Amino acid sequence: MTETPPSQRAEQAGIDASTKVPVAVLLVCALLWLVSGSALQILASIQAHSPAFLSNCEWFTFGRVYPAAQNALIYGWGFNAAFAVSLWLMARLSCAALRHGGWLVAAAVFWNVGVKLGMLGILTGASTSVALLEMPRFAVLLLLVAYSMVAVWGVANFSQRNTGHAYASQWYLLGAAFWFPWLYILAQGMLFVAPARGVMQAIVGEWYVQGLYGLFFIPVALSSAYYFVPKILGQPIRHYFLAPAGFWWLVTVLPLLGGSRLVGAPVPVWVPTTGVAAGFLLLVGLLAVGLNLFGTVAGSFDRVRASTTLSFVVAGVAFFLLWGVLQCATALRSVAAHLPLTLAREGQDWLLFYGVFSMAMFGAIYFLLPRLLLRAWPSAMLVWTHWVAAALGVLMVAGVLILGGWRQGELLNNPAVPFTEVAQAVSAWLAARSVGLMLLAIGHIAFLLNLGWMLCAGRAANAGGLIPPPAELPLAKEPRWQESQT
Amino acid sequence: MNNGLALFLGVAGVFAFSWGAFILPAHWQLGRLGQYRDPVDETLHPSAAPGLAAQGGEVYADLGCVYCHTQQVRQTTLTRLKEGKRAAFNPDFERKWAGDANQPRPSYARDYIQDRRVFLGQVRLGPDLRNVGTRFPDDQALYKLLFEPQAVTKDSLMPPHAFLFETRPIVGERSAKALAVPAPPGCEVVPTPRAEALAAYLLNLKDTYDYPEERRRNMLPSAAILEGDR
Ligand code: HEC
Repeated sequence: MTETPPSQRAEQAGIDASTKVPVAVLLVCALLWLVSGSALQILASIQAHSPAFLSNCEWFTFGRVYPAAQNALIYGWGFNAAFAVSLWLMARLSCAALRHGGWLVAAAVFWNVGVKLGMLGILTGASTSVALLEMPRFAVLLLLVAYSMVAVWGVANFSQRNTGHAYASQWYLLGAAFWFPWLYILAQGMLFVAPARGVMQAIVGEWYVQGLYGLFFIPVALSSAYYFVPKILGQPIRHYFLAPAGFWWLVTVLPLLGGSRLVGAPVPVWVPTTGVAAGFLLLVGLLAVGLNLFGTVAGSFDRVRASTTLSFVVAGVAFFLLWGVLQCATALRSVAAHLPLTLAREGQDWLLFYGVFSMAMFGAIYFLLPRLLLRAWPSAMLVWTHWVAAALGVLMVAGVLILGGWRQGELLNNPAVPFTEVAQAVSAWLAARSVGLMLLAIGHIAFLLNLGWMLCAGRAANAGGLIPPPAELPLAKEPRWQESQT
Repeated sequence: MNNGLALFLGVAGVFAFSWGAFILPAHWQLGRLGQYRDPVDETLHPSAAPGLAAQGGEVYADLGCVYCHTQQVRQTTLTRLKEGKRAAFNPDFERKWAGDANQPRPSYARDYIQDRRVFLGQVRLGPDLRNVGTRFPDDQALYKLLFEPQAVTKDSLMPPHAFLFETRPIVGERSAKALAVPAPPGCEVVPTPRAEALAAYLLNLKDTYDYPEERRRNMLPSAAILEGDR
């Protein structure tokens, strides 16, 4: 393996340094949201099977805690982490320092104040009860202002790139930067500013939710995967010529899946049918991405396991493929009869948001923070705890919800079973979900402890060498994507 | 894929496609739905919710009932063996979630055109509420349920919403709205205005009018599925 020449390495260090302050601020916010969001998730989950829990307090009634928990995870953890990782990755891939990064701290403050106000709005009774759009209007404006600042910086950085080419990760990041605000503005407009009539509201709502996952979180997750896999393994992406086709295919098909959330609903029949058909079309895109990423990883699994970052990122890619296969399976007639309006939908969304997106972000954060702060992660034990808790936890939460949803659907479809019995059967599965969420929380606490320790320990402790700095620190050979492209 | 402008145009194209393929045709199709005038008595259906019920919809949103309850009666899609023959059935009908017990029907898109906010819902942790107004005789029964569901159904998984009620000393006569629930001596439990609005909203939820046009259109798919299942 040839070493990167020192001059180039110094330049990269300069680019990393230019992103240091905003990225570190965003990541600390993201982690705090992750921990508080998972506490809220646990609270809501417990309430779902023990309804008396905190039911006297109006602020903490299930119908408010549940959306608050979802919003904390998606807009608190998800967006802060996506901002941080995207800005850093974009700067690196464009070989351009992030200029005037201090402004981004203001954007981070706006965003986080916006999310906090939105959460407060939900808990105090201003929730709209539209999935993932619950925040009241005053918070929405702040979020849009903050988002546009972050996106402008990212896009400007891309357009000032010092490289002749644009790599796969950059396509995904650029797309995500534009898609989210378009989705958000149109959904807000059609739902609240000039509300669409009747079930059109439900169609717009599901289009937004699916778009948020498919056109924002998945692209950000894939951009990390396309970066870290070749970077750390020191091998170019295999079959790179498939990457553009995979990109266009996936981003065209993913938002159409929204229709599959409306199977059996009183909407025009073609809406769910399109969604179900898109589920099958998805497989083609998954194949391209799978051949790219797993093709590169194949034969190097021991090196994946040895790298903290890759063990998270590759797990995320595996969850993506699993999610895609499940999406097709749920379109089969015998399954489709049972799954709509059960817990299964939430299980699939956990797999997508946590299994794919959050795992990729964890991997990226383990890689980039030491390079920004020039400190090593103090405890390998805590990293290991985090990985095990996250992987097992998300499998458990998603598995319990999907299997429990299947059982729930079977019982609901059998009118001989009184509803009370259905509810009792479901509550056992909900209790298992609480356990899975606690497992996830253990991972988050381990992550936060490690970060706190790293920030407090300072450089002196690292000199003592609690663990050697990550092996990748002398940068691995840049993946030679041009080569594989030609 | 290296040209920034081309990439941007592609990105915009992807978004325009998702909008044009999904939202636009649905909007065009559903936007044409209007109220239906009954040919016999000339009434318009569905009618707009009365003011108090419309306010109750806001309470329904703010308390997040939608995270446990759906508001949609599904189409007939299942078959089962009955006396040796396959017969179509709709579990929602048999659970009495479908309005008029003698003439159950699925929900139609037209049912929702007057709703300010549409709460189709995603998961049925509780019963479907689209026709809950046909199942409750009056607001008192709803108050009792909202105040303490566990007193109505043992081990119910619905959370109590006691904060929608006020316990106050009885001044003069007992209020006519007071709940028949245990209260401290000399006190009564009465619904707050929000509880009254919510109850009005729930009692107004009933799609009992059947639109001849929709009924005909909705019968077709279920028959087709029957064929396929044999
Ligand atoms: C945690 C989930 C949950 C939430 C939140 C919830 N419910 Fe329920 N609800 C249930 C369950 C479960 C039942 C079934 C009661 C039983 O028999 O156990 C139910 C039953 C009902 C019923 C009786 C339906 C019937 O046909 O008997 C009504 C009416 C109702 N809920 C209204 C509401 C309203 C209004 C709200 C919001 C203020 C609400 N629910 C919030 C779970 C919930």
